[in-house]
Formats: sequence, structure tokens, C-alpha cells
Amino acid sequence: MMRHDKRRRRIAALAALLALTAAPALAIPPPLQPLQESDLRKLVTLLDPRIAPDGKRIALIVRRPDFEKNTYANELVLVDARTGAARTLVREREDAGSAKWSPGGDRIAFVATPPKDPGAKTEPSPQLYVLRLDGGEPARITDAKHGVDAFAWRPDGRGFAYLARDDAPDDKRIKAHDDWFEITDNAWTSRSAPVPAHLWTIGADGKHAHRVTHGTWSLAGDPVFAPGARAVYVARTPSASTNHYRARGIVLVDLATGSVRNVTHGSTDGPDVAPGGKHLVYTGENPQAFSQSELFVSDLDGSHARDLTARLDRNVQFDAFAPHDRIVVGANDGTRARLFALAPDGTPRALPLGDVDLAGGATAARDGTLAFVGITPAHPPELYVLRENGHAPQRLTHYNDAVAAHAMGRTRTITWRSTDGYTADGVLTAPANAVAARKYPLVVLIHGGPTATSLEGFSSLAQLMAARGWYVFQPNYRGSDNLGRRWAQATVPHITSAPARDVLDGVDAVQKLGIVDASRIGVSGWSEGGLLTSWLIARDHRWRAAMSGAAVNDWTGYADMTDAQDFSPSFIGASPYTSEKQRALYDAESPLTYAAGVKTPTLIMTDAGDQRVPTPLAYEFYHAVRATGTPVEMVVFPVNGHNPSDPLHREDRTHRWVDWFARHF
Amino acid sequence: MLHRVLAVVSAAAVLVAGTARASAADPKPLTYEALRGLVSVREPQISPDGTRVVYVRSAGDYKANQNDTELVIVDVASGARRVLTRDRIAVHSPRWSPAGDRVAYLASPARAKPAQLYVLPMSGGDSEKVTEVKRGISSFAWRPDGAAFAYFAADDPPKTKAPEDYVAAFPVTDEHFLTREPSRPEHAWTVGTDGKGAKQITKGDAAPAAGGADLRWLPDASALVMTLQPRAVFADLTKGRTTIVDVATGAARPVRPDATRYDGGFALARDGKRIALSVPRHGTVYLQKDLEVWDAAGNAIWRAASLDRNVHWFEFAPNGDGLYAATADGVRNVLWRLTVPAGAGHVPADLIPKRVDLGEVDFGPDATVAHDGTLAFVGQRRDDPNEIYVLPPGAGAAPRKLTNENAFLAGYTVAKRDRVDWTSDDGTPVNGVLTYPTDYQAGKKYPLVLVIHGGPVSTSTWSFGTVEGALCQILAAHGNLVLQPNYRGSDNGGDAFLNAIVPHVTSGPGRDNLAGVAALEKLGIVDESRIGVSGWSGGGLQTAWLVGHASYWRAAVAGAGVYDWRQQAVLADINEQFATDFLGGASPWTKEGRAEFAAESPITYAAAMRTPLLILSDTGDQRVPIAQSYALYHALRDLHRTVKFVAFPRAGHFPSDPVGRETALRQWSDWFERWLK
Repeated sequence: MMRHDKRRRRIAALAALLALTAAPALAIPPPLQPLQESDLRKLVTLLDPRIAPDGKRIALIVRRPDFEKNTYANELVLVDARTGAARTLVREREDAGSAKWSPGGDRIAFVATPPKDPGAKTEPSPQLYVLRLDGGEPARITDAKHGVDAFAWRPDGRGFAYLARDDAPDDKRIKAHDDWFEITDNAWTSRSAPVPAHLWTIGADGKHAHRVTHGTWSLAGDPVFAPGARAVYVARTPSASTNHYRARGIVLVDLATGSVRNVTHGSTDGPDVAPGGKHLVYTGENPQAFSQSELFVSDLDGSHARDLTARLDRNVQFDAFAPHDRIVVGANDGTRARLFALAPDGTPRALPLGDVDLAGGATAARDGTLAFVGITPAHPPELYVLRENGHAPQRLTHYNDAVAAHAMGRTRTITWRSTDGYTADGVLTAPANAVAARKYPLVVLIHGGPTATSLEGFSSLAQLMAARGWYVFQPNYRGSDNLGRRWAQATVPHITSAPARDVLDGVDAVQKLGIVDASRIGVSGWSEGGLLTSWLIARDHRWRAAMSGAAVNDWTGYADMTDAQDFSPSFIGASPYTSEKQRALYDAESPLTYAAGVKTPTLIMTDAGDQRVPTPLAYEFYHAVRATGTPVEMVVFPVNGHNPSDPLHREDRTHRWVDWFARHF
Repeated sequence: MLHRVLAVVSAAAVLVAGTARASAADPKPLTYEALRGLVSVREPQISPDGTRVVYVRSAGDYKANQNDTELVIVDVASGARRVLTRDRIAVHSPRWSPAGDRVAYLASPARAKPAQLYVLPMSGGDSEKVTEVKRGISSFAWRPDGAAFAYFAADDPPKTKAPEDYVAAFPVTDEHFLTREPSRPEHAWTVGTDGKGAKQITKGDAAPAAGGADLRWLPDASALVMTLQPRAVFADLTKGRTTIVDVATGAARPVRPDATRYDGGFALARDGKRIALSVPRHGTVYLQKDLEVWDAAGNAIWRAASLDRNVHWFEFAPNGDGLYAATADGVRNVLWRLTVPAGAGHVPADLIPKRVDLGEVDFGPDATVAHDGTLAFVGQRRDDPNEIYVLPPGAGAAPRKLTNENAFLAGYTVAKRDRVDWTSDDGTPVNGVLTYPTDYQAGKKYPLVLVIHGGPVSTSTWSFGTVEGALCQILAAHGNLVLQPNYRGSDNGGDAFLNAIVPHVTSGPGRDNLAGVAALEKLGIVDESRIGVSGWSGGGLQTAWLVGHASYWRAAVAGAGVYDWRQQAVLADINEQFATDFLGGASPWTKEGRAEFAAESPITYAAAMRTPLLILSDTGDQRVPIAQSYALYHALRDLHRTVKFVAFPRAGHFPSDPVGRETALRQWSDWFERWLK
């Protein structure tokens, strides 16, 4: 009974995919060593905790890097919710995920890519599997040509609804090498036209795969069966393009006829049916703050919709149904990521997480027990359960004890007033072995997004820097999703200049503490954090060194080439080509315009195939800074994506980031 | 190669067409299906004794979508012809052994594998693979004794513990925006013809000049001659210096002592005592290049100033008393002979050029010279696509056609092509090629399509040896007049005309092209309500400019165009210097320079563009980055103009695979079919 908010995930991806957070020192005996880069090879990632309906067991994806093969190996693990005893159910699948309990709790369905058949011409694509918990290896259910995107158990446990990509409409021509395609609003990295995904149903035995919908529009996100199981709720976008994302809305699909009816208004997705079968629950943009997701409850036909999170006023990341008609949601709040229980009238109550920050979704059992992945300032992700007994969460796993057994820099939250009256916050991590009364260098680490938040919880990058003897400051700036809709919208339309002022005010506040060596202050960030870094080094000269990663150095180029073309108009307004005013605004908010002012030795990093923040923007800024004579180096990661995702390139990126400041301090 | 930096075609991707033979009864109109039969011939290699010519034959396999290549030998006396290689992949660079008993060539052992060196005995039998070089061989030369080779091979990536296919992150400087691995230099090696004793000759950062890495031995085999650039990065091709490298020690000595002067290729006299260099007249290889002859002591002794044409190809006559040079001239590709007097004054003196009369045949520029002075070359006529020709030695000799690879064209109607001349609005004389509709009748008016060449240092000739030539035939078959203007910056009229493009790289040619339309309209043959404009690369730049500066166009097709000079400067493999050279030294990083870049960039005038525009591009174009096409598309879309953007998912500046090539041209001509009807 949970779901993920895909939109939230997408914007978080636009943010740095780094959890750029930090941790306080533990009160642990002295022999602990500072964290080294090599220690991070042991870091285990935990994903998608799914508690069984009876609350006794939790299915969890455990992801480990393999530095020999430069891949990851995923395991599907079953964890006892009382003892933490873990048993591996599915081994060594690089991408196994999306595990879901059957309604009866006797089976787990998941998606994984089958091993490549040596004789096959094409690469295998992800398929749906079912694992019985009374023994036996997982059985493959689907044979979808282009893979399974998302799925749901039928409430009787005897079938599934799932989404699968169509064949390209001009598949035949493409196979004959005549593979031209029309560019519309796709990313610059595109090599084919986007293809829609449509709804299918299939029996739990893998028989009777049946296509339900057709059209040039596309479906996205997990489908959900309506009461009676004759229809399915699912989010629809008007085309297969990623850039029609904000035009998405929930539809109800009749499984017998394939007919489709709009259910919700506005930009909405993530449908769910509340226990009792009387209400539809979904997320949607707040009409006054498009970057903030709110939780809506309506009748099953979409009428009588109301915003359940109007009072919470935070960006909702997921929801889970708890007893007594309460709904639990996750959201960033200040420098913490919390769970909130919403009463039926929308009254929010923060659940007692102690020093644990939420680090992903939570799922609820029928009795209200919640399972989630959490971090603390000094401990990387582990699986936790939170029971309805008022106690702090219980940690069930010890996957990252080896990483945690190091001297960590202490974290604290810093607040400051902006000139226009906001109280902003950020996280300051002290050097791992800080001695009072000494001054240390400072690195500013700026998160991406902007719809994201820097937390007190463990950040490997911040701790690596703290281990070098530097303060690390991670400011939350306007546009961050930690203080509600007014703060989130305060960046519009000054998407760069306004948050940059917040960051500078925050750095001023940190400097006023009298603990920073003012001659050794560095600034850095990825994505929007890279944008702000590029901006800050062009407009302020206190910096000793800078690292600008995957930065939006030019808003026009970004709007031309990104896969998120519905993003910039939201923050900065209509096309720069349509009016002098918009042209001037795009230029005024672009660091490239001010590159001649850069005096800070700068490292620029980018992936070679970044579809989100187009690679050309890094080259432009590099050439512009180089022309000033300021020392500048540019490093390319020869991979696709907005961040290097394979273990070796990730490690290398962290190394270069830290090393740049080590060289310049 | 450098002279057509922003042009569509290299010699390796030639699509050609022919005119109808007068005898053809009931000729059919040319179609894309018919053009699939076209065969490309290139790299004619005449044997040292002048009796045989080996060449590369390339034909498109449209089912497998690949270009099938083979070596063919033709007897000079009889014209008898036979195929030498069987089922080899990507065959190129055939070279006769010094004794004429073997032919070495490069080919790929398997599809998509790098090229290795093969030797084919001319006494019969299979080729033997000589090398097994991990990243392949780009160029080679027989040692004068025929017992060894020199070749260029790229360095292997350093060995790491990472998986085989892992490419570590790397720093970039002047690399293009699609770069996925560090620029690693190639180095010169020598190896026995038995494949044994491989020895590395050059070391360090210097690399063979990108885009034309020739390699020759001095006659005594003591040294190699090559053009080296300081770093492997492609953009450094502007910094090539022809260098003599001692084979025993690796010691390198540039032919020209002045380290601040660059050159762009060389020819070596057979006695090794003189080296001819292609030398930029204005310091940059992107503008006009002249010939100079240097002696072994590092003195310039002759300079071909009077020739005053951008030199595409050059070679010494066998006894060193002459230089052959190929250039464009007007609407033709021509051959010159420059007499090189004996002796050497140390004051460079002018070499007087004499045009070689080839009659109706246009010259190569792909050619070789036998010991007796016989030239083998690729020739074309207006009415005949590329074939192998020989020109016997001696004054007054006429070229003789050796092959008839494209005989099938006799069954088709081919459009008539002629030279047209006009005067630009500032008095500059301009010429171009006019292709008439195949159904042309005097006194009637026809739609007009401009097909504008790229480069910009290039020339549209009336022979059919280009992609644009095939397109002109199709457009003419569809009933259109086609004008290919040689605007200022073209290399068919000497340095003053070429250099007149600086600094108004876009607006200067734009006025010439508009004047060309006006001149044709005055002839009374143009339907003035149906005029289209198109071009690839530099021609795409012109197209976008013209639709922003005149409103009479009914439709336009802009392929791989430069629409924003700043992006071009930053993202392309040819990098900042290319833009800066043509914009007269302006830097996009100063306020004034930025204004000059913007003033010459079509995107600046997007709001004035109202012509239905088709934008075409390869997705992986390193020469004219697709980023600019995205910008132009977004600008016009957001302004609610009629615009369509079609991309071809492949690397390169123009599709080189048969299907991709045809598809690109079909998109192009279909747009005019749609809008000019």
C-alpha cells in the first residue's frame, strides 16, 4: 500500500544525485580513523523497502558495487521485522527492483532483466517475475518486447496490470537502416523518437497477456486497480516525450473496453486507492507552487478533491496508509527528512524519528508498522522500522557498519536571515578532528534541484571533505523543498541570482562564526549546484577554488537541449526567442553572461552524454573562462546521464572533486 | 582536405551522376533508385612503370547498408580490368611496391575493426596481413628497398585494472563536444614486410596532422617526411609543420625553420632533394594555401604566387623539373603544371603556372604520377561521372578514359549544366553552376532551388562528383532550375575573392547569393513565386541567413548549418580558430567580438525568418554541432513558424552509409516537392 512519486524522483535526479549531507561526531573511542575514499567501496545502497501486509517481514533491495566488473549487483533480501535476520531471495541481478507483495502476502513480484541469451540479437529488457515464499526460484511472468515499465498486483492476486513500451511506429523502416526521426522537444542526446508506453494485463501464471490501451499518448508510473478490479487508475501524458511531464493527469482505464476517462484536473500522478475503497489519493502540483507536490484526496471519480497537505505545506515524496484513516507521508523539513502522519482533516504530526533522517520511501503494514531506509548524521543507510508504540525507530540492519566505524565530522544546522526576510538554513560539518580555536578551510557544497534539500543525515562527500580537515557547508537556498511553497517559489523567475544571494548570505553567516580560514574557501556543486557555483565565482571573489559540475551555465541552451524542457519555463518564464524581455532575463540569469568575471581556479566536470544539463553548456563555460586567463580545467566522464552512475566513474568523480580543493588549499 | 572544412563531402563519399548519352533511346528520368547504381572510383595508383593502374572501387549495398570496396586493376594500354581483392572490408590506400611486384593496402579484418596493412603479390594469391596493431593503421609508405614499411598507428590506452571497455574520465582542452576518449597521438613506426621488427620512430605529444597525414621515405631510407601537429587534439591541425624524422634516432627537423609558421601537407621530389609544401597565405590553413618549394638545407627556393588558387593536390613530376597542382578554377577542377627550374636561388622566385588542357575532363584531384610522367587520375565530365583516366607525358597529350564503371547511366536523362556569371551588389564578379530542368523549354519559367556549397573554401563545379550533384539531378528531374553559387570565400577565383569573405563570413556571401537569384530572374526563366534555398554545412549557414534576410523564399532546407558562430567556435572539432579566422580575428569573449559573432550568426535574425524551413542534421556531427540546429528549431517553433527538424542517428557531418545518404537527400528534395509544387 505505498507508491513512489515519480515526479519527486525526477526532480531529485535533477538535483545532485548525491546525498550531500553530513553527520555529527559519535561519542566513540579514539582509535577511529577519518574516512578515506577507499572506505566508500564498502558502501551498500538499500532501496525499496516493502513491508509485508502482516508486518512480519520486509522485502528490500540491497545494491553493492562490483569494482572488478564496474557494475552493481542487486539482491532481493527478506528481513525479519523483529530480529533483523536477513535471507537473500534473489541474487546477483544488476537491476532487480520494484518488489511488491502479493495481496495475500504469499508471493513477491519484482522486475529484473533476464540474463542475455548468447544467441539473441537484441539486449534483454526488464521483465516481471514472481517469487513464491513457500519455495522455488522466481518464475518469469512477462515476455514484453521492450520491457516492463511499472506494474500492480490485481487485488485477488491472480493477475497483474503493467505498462510496456510499444514498437516504434516506423519500426520496419528503421530496421531497413532508414532511421531518420523528427526532433520535437526531446533531449539533444536523442537518437530516436520517443515511443509510448501502454497498459497490459496478464495472469499471475504468465498467460493471457492482453493489451488494453492504444494511442499516441503515453502512460507512466505504477497503475492501481480501482475497486472491483474492472478498471485501473494510471497517469497519462499527452505524448511519449519526457517534456510533456507537467501535462500529465490521472485517467481511469476500463479493462474490458480500453476506454479512457480523465479523473483529475491539473498536473497530477501517483494514484492510489485508500483502504475501504471509497477514496482516490494522488499527488499533484500545488497550483501556487508548481515545484511542490501536494497530496490530494477525492472521490473515486475525481470529484470533491481536496488538498490534504495544505497545512503541512511541504513537498510530499510518497504516501502510505496507516490505521484510523491516517496517511503517512515523507517530506523534507528544514535540514531533516521526516515522516508525517496526516489526520483525515489534514492535521500533520511529525513522527518520532530521533536522529534518523528518511532516505527514501516508507511502506506500511496493516497494523501501521512502517519500514523505511534511514540515515543518521554518522551512519549511512540502514533499514528501520517504526511501530505504532511511540518509540524511536528500530534499526534492523548493519550493512554499513564498516563505513560508519570512522571518525566523522560533527554536523549542525545553521540558520540565517535573508535581506528579504526569509530564515534560511544549511548544514555545517566540522573537520573530523577539529580542534577548538583553530581555523579551517571551508568548502561550500551546493545541492542541485533546486527542488531538493541538504540534510543533517550522512553524506559521504561531506564526510570525505571533513576527513581532510575542512569545514563543509551545505546551504539550502530558495527553491529548496525544505520550507514550504512560498520558499520554493521565491526563486521564480530569478532562478540563479536569488538563490545565489541566499548561498552568499549563508557563507557570510558561517564566516561570522569565526572558525573559517577566510583565505581558503571553496565552492562547488553539481547540476543546479553547479549553476550556482558558476554564478558565484563570476560574481564574488572570496573563493580559493571551485568545482562546477553539470552546470546550467546558459538557460537558453538548457531550454533548447534538455530532456526537462517543461522545467525552465516554469522557473524562468516563456521562451527567450519570443520577446526581448525574456531574452534579457535568460541572459541575466546565466553564468555564461558573466564568465569574464571569473577569477577563481575552477574545475569543470560533465558527463559526455548528459541529457538533463546538456554537455555543450560545460564546454561553453570552459572556453569562456579559459579566455580570461584564469586557471581552469575541464574533465569529461565518457558516459551517458546526468551523473556518472557506474562505480568506477562515481569514485573518480568524488576523487577529483575532493582532490581539486586539496590541491588549492 | 582542409579546404572543405565545412563542406558535405570528402572524396570518400562521392555520389555522382552522369548526363544522358546522345545515343540513348527513350531515356528515363533519374531517380534515387537509379542513383543506387552509382559506383565511386578513387585513389588511382599508377604502377612505377606506368603500365597499370590500381584503384579503389566502392558501391553501395543498400540492403546491408554498407559501402562495398575492392581493389581493381586496369591495364593502361588495353583498358583490360579485373578485380584484385575479394570480400575485403573498407579497402583503401593501395600503394605499389617500389619494384611494382606487390600492392600494399589498408583494410579492416572485420566490420567496425580498425584498419591493418595487407600485401598482395602481383604474381597471384591471397593478400597477407602484415600488421596486428590494436588501434589500427591510418597511413603507411613502402621503404624504397621494398623490404619494410613505415606507418602511423595510435598509441594504446594505458593498461589499468579496470574492465577492458572502461574509459576513464579525462581532461579536455580543444576537443569537440562529443568527445568520448582522450586525444591520443599516433606515432610513426617501421616494420618488415614480414610483419617482424616493429619499431617506434616518433615519440611524445606530436601527432600526424589531422585530415591529411601523408608519410614518405627519403630515397636513402634514412628518414621519413611527415606533417606533425603539436598535440593529437584535432583542432591542432592548424599547427602542422612538415618535418623530416631520422629513422635511426627519431630526431626531427622541420623543413621550415621558423617555428611560428605552419603548413598543410607536402610532396617529395623523387631524388629527395626538394620538398613542396602547401603554405597558408594568411597564416592559417583555413584560408588560401599556396605552393612553395624548399630545399634540403631549409631554404625556400620557389613560390607559386602567380598560380593564385587554393591548391587541393600537388605532386612533383618524375625528374623534379615540374610540379603538378590541382585547383578549382571558375566552375571546373583543373590541373596546372609549374616548371621548376634547376638550381636554387635563395630568394624565393615565382613559379609560372601553365594550365594543362584536359578538354572536357575535370581533374580529380586524386592522382598519381608514374616514373615516365604518366598521370593517372579520377576525372569527370559534365556528362559523365567519376572514372579513371590517364594523361600520357608530353605536351599536347590528351587524357584517356580507362574505365566505364557508371555505364548504366546511359539509359537515363541527365540534366544539362552550365556556368552562369553575375555581379554582386558591390561589383564583385561571381559565378555558379546552373542545372536546367530535364524537361526545360526555352521561354518557359521554372521554379528555382539554390543548392549552396559548404566550406566555405570550396567550389561547386559543373562535374557531378558530389552529393549536391546527385541532388541537383533529382531536383532537375522534378522540374526545377538549380543554382549552385560560388560565393565569395569559394576557392575558384584566387586569394582576393576567397579572402573577401573575411570578416563578413555570412553576410558577404549572402549578398552574392541574393545577387545570383536576381541575375537569374532577369533571364526570364525563373518562376518568381517558387524559389527555394538550401545547403549543407556552410550552405546551411547561408540558407538560414538568406531566409532571415529576404522574404521571397517559398521553402528552405538547412542541413548541419552554422547558426551561431559562438557555439560553433566552442563545440566543433575545428574549434575557435576556424570561427576567428573567418570573422577577422574577433574573439567571442570580448564585448566587441561577441557583437561581431552575433551579427554574422543567422540565429540573431530568427524573428525575421518566415520561410517554411526543414532542418537536417546528423545527431553525432562533430564538425557543425547539432546544438545549433536545436537552437534554430526552438527559436522558430516558439515563434510559431513552419519548421520541421529531422535528424539522422549517426556520427559525422553527413551520413556516409548508403541508406543514410539517400535518406538525407530524399528529405531534402521532398521538402521542395511539397512546397514548390
